[in-house]
Amino acid sequence: MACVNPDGKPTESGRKMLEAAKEPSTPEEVSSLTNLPLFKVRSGLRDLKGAGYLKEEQGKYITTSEGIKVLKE
Amino acid sequence: MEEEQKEELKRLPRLGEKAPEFDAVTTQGNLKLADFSGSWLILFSHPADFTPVCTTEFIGFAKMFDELQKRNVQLMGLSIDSVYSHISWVRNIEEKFGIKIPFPVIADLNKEVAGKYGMIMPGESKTETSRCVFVIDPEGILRAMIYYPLTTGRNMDEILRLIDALQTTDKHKVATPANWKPGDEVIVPPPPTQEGAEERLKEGFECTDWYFCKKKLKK
Repeated sequence: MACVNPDGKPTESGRKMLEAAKEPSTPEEVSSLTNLPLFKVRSGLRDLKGAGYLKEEQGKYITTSEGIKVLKE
Repeated sequence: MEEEQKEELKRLPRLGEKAPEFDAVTTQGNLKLADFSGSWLILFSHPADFTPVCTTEFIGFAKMFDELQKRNVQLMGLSIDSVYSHISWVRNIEEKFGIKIPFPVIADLNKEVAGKYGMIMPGESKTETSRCVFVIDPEGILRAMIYYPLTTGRNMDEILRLIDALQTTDKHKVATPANWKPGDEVIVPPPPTQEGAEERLKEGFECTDWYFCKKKLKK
């Protein structure tokens, strides 16, 4: 996974996406906020959601409490 | 034998149709074709990592990367090698040639994507992908294909010219003549009716005949 390391922690780009998604954001907004290409953001959001760091509601992604916790580590 | 041939034909993608979907392991994580929706995508295959012609091509693609970005085009490579081989090779290219490879590369070990796109030419090699280029538009439609043999490196200028031509066609509803490059005159599509043919010569284009009219695009 591009945005989640084998130890389950987010990568640097994963952390950027989690920071961006503290406010509910579309993939396009996360791409704009992080300056990462949209294809990479779409793939990364999928990974981060699968790891429980993000949830998706009505096309917007928001960092979960688990995601906030890992950002503080 | 006939069934085999039909099966082979079925596997080949066709221009103007939806490009085959994939969900692939790449050097930049798992990527699906749908992840590129809204951008143009150049999906290209190379025979193998750590080979000289492919190395020159990867350097060529990397040098073209910024120009492609300006045109909303993403790049993605593919070969039947592992992701670790790809990572090792792109790191080697950076170390030995000073060129960073900025695009993802599919590790198609099970030949799934190569099979869907008809990238393997058994007459050349059953274990390597030929040098294929697929241009996919922002709606996921396959717009152009180029196939080169194992021995011949691709021409990056031609790939960029192809992108410029396709984008010009979409924007201005025109065609582009042989050896066209940005700034050259474009072809006005021939009228499909006799009435249109009569009118065409009065429309102010530079016409040799009713079916052969050119115009300069406004900047």
